[in-house]
Amino acid sequence: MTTTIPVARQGVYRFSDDLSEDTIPFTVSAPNPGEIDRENLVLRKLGVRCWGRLYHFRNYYQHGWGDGHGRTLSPRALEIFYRFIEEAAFPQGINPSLFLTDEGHLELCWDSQFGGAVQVEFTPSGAEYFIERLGSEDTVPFTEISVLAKRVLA
Amino acid sequence: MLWTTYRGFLKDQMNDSLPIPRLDRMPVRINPCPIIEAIIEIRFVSTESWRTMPGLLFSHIRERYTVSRDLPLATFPEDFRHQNPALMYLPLVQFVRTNFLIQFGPRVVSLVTSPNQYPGWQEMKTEMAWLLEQIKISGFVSEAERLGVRYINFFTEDIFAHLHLRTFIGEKALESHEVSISTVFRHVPMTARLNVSNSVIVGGPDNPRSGSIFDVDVWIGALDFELFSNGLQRTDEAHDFEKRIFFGLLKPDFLAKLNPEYS
Repeated sequence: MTTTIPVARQGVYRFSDDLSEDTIPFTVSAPNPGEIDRENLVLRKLGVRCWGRLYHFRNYYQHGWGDGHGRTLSPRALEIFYRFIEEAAFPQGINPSLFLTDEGHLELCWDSQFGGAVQVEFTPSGAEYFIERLGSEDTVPFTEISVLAKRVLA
Repeated sequence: MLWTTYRGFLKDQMNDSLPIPRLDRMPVRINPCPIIEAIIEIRFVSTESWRTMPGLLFSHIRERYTVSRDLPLATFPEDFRHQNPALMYLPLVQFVRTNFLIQFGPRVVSLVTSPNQYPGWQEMKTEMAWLLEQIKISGFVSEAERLGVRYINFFTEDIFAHLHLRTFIGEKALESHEVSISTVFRHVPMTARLNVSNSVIVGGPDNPRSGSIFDVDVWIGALDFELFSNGLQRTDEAHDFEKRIFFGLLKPDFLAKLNPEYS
């Protein structure tokens, strides 16, 4: 089964007929250039459910989603999220859930293996976290995201 | 240097991951100029609805860009566009002046040279500095997502014969075939996508020409630039990286035929 994306604008060049591919199979989804490592990272560490939710947040949640006030996913928050995931080592059996907040931030939540919930909200400047078991919450700049990844999973 | 950038820089140096020769010096001009289009692109998110955005920008640029025209995608319903990620960063409107176009969409604004009229980097950068100021005043950018510089070069001959870049099947080089190569290089904080093809058509129905393209798109991600403070400086760095890829891949004898001028 194939579909054809309509030509959006005439580019300054086009490939010869034999080289051009005018149908895109549904079964193939090419990530944005340079992002295959990140796609793999999310799949490996958070699983297919979170990967799918992130894909939708990135591609289908435009400004005004939800009740009309939801913001587009913040590109900086997304970058910080990726850097957190790169450093995070989730214990086996922990299945984080991923949400998009009304402000366009990403929120990652999971039940700690020591009990209680852990929430990390990724913002354009860093992250805010809450560890229920310790009753602790704080904000960290994005330069300390690596430290945070170890702290919330300890 | 940002911590994240520095760490990436070290990783990059250790891996020496850029397989492109580095020239001692790079030309400032070649003749004939193969650049058919150069683009500086800003991707962003906004809290403004698309309906108001063209007006916000146009009111600040209309003295230079007197003509505006809708692009074909603008005729598609908004709901349809929202359901197609492939359309997200495409422009819907074009503003035109001599030598330059501004292309504008809900998530993208770009400065584009008129086809085959590349005026040189300094002039392009000067125009970009002015455009950045107008974008800032217009106030529709909530957050910048990506800053890119793209150069599309056209050659009438098979460009693979003149590049340090070839494709092989086993030991045998693919020559005299229609070939298109896409690859991505990372050079923290920049990423570059290189497209080279020896089978393209450029120009409109009135003056189509067949040949090769050498298309390099270099960009910087959201955490590695501040649009209104160091955005212009970052475009300079992306431009330098683009030149390194272009001139690094050209064979010296071919470069010599392009009459390079050095500063």
